[in-house]
Amino acid sequence: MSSLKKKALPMLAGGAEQTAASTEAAPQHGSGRPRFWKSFAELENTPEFRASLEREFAAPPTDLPPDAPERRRFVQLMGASLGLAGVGCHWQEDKILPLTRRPEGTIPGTTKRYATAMELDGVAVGLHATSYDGRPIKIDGNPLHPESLGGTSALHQASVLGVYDPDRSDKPWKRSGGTAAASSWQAAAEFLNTHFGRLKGTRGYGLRVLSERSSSPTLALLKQRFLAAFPQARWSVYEPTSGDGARAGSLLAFGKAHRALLKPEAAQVILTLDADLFAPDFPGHLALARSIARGRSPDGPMSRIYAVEPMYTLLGGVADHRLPVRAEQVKTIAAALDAKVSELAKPLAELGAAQALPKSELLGEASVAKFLDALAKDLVANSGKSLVVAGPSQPAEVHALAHRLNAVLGNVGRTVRYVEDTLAENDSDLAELKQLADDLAKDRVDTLLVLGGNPAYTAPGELAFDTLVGRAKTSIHLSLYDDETSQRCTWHLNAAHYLESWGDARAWDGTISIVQPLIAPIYGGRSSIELLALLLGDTTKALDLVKATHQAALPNERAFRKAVHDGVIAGSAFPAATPTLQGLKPVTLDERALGGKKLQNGQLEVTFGPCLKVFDGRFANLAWLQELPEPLTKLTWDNAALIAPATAAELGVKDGEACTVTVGGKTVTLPALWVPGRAEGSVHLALGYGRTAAGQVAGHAKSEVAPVGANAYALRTVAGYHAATGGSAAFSNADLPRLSTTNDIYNLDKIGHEGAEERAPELVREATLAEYKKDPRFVESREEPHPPLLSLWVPPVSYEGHKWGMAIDLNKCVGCGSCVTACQAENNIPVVGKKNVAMGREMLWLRVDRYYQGEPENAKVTFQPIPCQQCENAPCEQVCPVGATIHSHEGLNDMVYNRCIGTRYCSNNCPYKVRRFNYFNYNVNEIGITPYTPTDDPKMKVKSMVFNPDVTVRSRGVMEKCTFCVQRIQNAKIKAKNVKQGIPDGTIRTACQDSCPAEAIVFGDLNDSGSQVAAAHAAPRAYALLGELNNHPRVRYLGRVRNPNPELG
Amino acid sequence: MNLFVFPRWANKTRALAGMLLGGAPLYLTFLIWYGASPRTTDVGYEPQQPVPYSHALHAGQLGLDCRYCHNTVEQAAHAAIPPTDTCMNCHARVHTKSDKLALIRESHETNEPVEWIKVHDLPDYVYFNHSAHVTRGVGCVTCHGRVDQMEEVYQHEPLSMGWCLDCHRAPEKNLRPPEEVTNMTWAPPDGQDAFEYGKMLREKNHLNPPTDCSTCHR
Repeated sequence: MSSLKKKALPMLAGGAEQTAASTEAAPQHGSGRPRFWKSFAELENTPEFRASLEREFAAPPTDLPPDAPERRRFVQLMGASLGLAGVGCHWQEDKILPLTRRPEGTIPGTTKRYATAMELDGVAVGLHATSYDGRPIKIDGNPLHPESLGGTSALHQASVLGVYDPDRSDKPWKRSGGTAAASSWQAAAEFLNTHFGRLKGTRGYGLRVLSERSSSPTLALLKQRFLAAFPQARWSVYEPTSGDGARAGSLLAFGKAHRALLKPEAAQVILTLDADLFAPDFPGHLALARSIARGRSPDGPMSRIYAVEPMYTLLGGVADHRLPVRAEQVKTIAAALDAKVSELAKPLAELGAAQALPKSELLGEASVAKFLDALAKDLVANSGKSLVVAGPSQPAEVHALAHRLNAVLGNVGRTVRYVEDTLAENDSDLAELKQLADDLAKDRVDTLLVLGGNPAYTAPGELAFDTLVGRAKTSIHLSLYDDETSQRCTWHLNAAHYLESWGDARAWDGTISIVQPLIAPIYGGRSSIELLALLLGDTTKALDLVKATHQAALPNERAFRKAVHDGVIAGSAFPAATPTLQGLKPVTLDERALGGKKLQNGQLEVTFGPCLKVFDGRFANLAWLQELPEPLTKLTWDNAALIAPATAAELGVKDGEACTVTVGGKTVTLPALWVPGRAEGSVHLALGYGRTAAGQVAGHAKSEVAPVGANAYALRTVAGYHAATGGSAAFSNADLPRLSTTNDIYNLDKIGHEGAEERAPELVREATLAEYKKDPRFVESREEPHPPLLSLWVPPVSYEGHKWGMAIDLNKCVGCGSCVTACQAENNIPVVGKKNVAMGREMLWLRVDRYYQGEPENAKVTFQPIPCQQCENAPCEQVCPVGATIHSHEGLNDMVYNRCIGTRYCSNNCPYKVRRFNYFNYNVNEIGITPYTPTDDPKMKVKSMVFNPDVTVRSRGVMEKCTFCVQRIQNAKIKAKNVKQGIPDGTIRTACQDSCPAEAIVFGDLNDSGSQVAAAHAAPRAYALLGELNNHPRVRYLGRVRNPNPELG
Repeated sequence: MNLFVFPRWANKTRALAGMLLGGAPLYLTFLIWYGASPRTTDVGYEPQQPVPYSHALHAGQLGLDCRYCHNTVEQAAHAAIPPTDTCMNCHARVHTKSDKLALIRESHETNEPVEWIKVHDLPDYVYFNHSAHVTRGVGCVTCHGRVDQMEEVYQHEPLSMGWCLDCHRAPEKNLRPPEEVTNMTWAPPDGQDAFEYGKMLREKNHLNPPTDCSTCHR
């Protein structure tokens, strides 16, 4: 650990320079001022970091290819404007094209919300999609849906971009002998009718179907009919992210497959075993975020969260205590915990024998033993109010142990309840996939039908599925993009997006949602339901198929319309079940699981998991998600080998430099990133990158677009599906472009950085629950003394009428980044690409800062979303030479794009650096033009349909920033005044507030004494960011309160 | 190197040259100030529409209310141009074979829209909301002129930002009871002064038009 000298700033120290050379590590939390840091470069004070401080502006990265036309990858969006001014004194004429037949009740030029649902990995999340003039432009959560409760994740927000993606496949393709020919649905239908007609004769001999996991009742019925028509056919389900562990675990524990429905807000103590409850692959993650956030209020009974996990997850960021262990050792911890809890709780004999305490080197470590003892005591002390959760990537035994622990602790029926998993047969099955691969290799497959998914890319590399797909005599792939699998199939059929199709899907608890289309299929694609019906010779339309499925629950048109309107079918959840726990056999622990933390190179564990942004790769071509900084690593446009600093130091793998990761003879080269708090001896690779046929954004080999990131699927094996053993990592000399993270780009200069370091405990104000109870106004004590804040205006400016303000609760924010993508969707924020992000030019109006605190071995994490603070005494307003940014009478800092001349003085003066400048015409394809998609390509014009017409699309040379969604505010005010009504609290919701699943952001009228935001501003925990600069921001942050176990300190 | 010396005849032109040099910036300023101002470039803009629809006939002579066709004006930002069906409400029976209505009939049959040319075109960065004005008592005639006398619609007012602010800063000049917004010939009752009457209406209806930038620029 390098020593760091802390020098007091000359001004504050009153002239005398004090150098406190400390050879110790950073001071611990609680003793003196804690040390916050944002990256290892900063922590280690590397020469590169120091050099970056000296430079005023970020240098363009020289290791990225130059902006030559054929290499540019930036996404261009054609403006909707009709070109330059023409000849004559009046500008170019504009046309109005009204509808010929306006449906009753529609008002053109206004938005309407429709309920629909998006299914991911077999679990539906209910959504509200906003439609403008017949096209969807924004996604929000459905408050009535149990999975959403009004919140969304970044994936849902970005899904609307997928409808208009220019790389979307617009027609079927027929391939044979290496040549591809464009085709049509008519031709495809003819072929399919003939082909499947013949297969009917042979009862489906040699027919294999590989589909995505789906909970759709209509699809299930069609599947039944399909298998009845083709009895010799075999239907397999494969999802690259879900594991067999959860289902197998419930089988072990209860004898029948069950689903666990969690209720964390009823729990005082929550333990997660490698479970990121806030990640999109955890069922119910949005509702869980809300539930956990509600249980974390320091004014009520605040919960305590323990996280045992290999990777630093969002839940780990919220947790009060974290224990980093390798994925394969979570089993050991679970067994040890079962032993300790059973000893303390003395459960009934019917629940079976407890696990024996394993003799493990890991458990022998003092810190681990102490952690487990305190954890066991805490869990037992809170019997009936605790919750143990195992993650989807853990094996069956861990899940079974989690079920047992919940039973032993008496949590069943209180914090967790069960329903029977009647859809278990639809779970992803690796054994089935292996069997299919085997059949393909042995040429036993005549026809392979792939419904959705992308198995050539997402199957474990060991199976070499990409070479096997083409072995089938006829292969048909229904997908949104002409992707890796489609390019190897004989037929590619373009699919309809979920926003273009009728369908249905179930939430985790079984509630059925009807999926309704917002727009007719733009490219004439069809959904899985429609394709299956076609193959069965059924000409029924999808809508009628869905209606028929739910005939019993929705007997008439009125009932159906109500269900479509609400987005849920009331009462359709699975009935509650009370399974009895069976006794568990002793857990099998091999020597790796029983070993210690340290592992030799060549024996490393390599874990795979879906990226929080692009998931398993299906969203890789959505530029919004590529540009979204990954919540913890703040990585954009890339994935990296995530490794613990101690392990990396041993292996000689440097932070940010290239490294090779090898598993089972297969190697992948990618940059490494040190992640504090990561388990030692383990390397994590995010899935979903390195695609070769995704599109212009994520990589397309045929048009020479380099892939974003490295393909981790290549290293995946069936045995080591979630965690492979025997891996090795080594430093590589490969010349890879450096990572574009949004950590250090706001470091100004040396003095500025020292100042920021000094200030960090004021920026993120934290306390333990005990401290908070002793001193609820702890945020004030974190403030450095400063001179009294005077005002130039006497009396000070008063705001009668509306007084808009916002409050962000740091205790609730989990850092998921949903707000960031929602803001991008709502405000037409452009994407700038990897190179510009590296230069600090990303355009996202809202950024989520992530601070590490403490030791790199197990640092604490705090997230802080920073929008424009709408300062009453704004530094930016005072320096604009042309008056392009003015304060409104309601307290908003208005940004007038047409007046801005691009001086950038406002951004210079902003202490929060929340102003973004359009260096290029990002929205109007000035950069990023590739030969593959010429600028007048009609598909690029389609992409402009995603714009929100209520917000100006900015051109080059104009400054922009968060406006508190002023378009929503104005629309609400006008609407209210039109009908002469007031605006009750909660009517106006900013995009970030709307999407946050944890309800961390609150917006409203501070002059409304009953509003939530007024209450938040008056809360003792509330503080203003950099308030000592006398700029009176309208955003208040509620300080973070942690609830550590006093025994663990 | 030779110094440049003005030829002798230039002495006679000194006065004229001076006047031109001094007058040129003034002239240019005047030219651009008045020539490029919306009062010059936009007022009177009368594009030729694909269908020779006459407001003078329909709104003036026949007395159709503005809101019969532009029926979204009280709820939405746009006063929508009516769909072809609205025209066919009458013209399915009236003048069914007229040449002038050929495009309308074609639009009705083929389901393709009629391509109207926008007359009152504001820049894209301006967000004007009709409902906010119409429901508060700003008459149609105030901004659009005597449409009921126009054979072909032309722009009567400059619709520049300065022109909008003139009213926003002193709305009394242009107010009328909300029920009378479509009345093109409305005048305050009993010969009252329009300004005074407007003041009374402003009080009564609590009208406070904002002059913040974000009112129109988002």
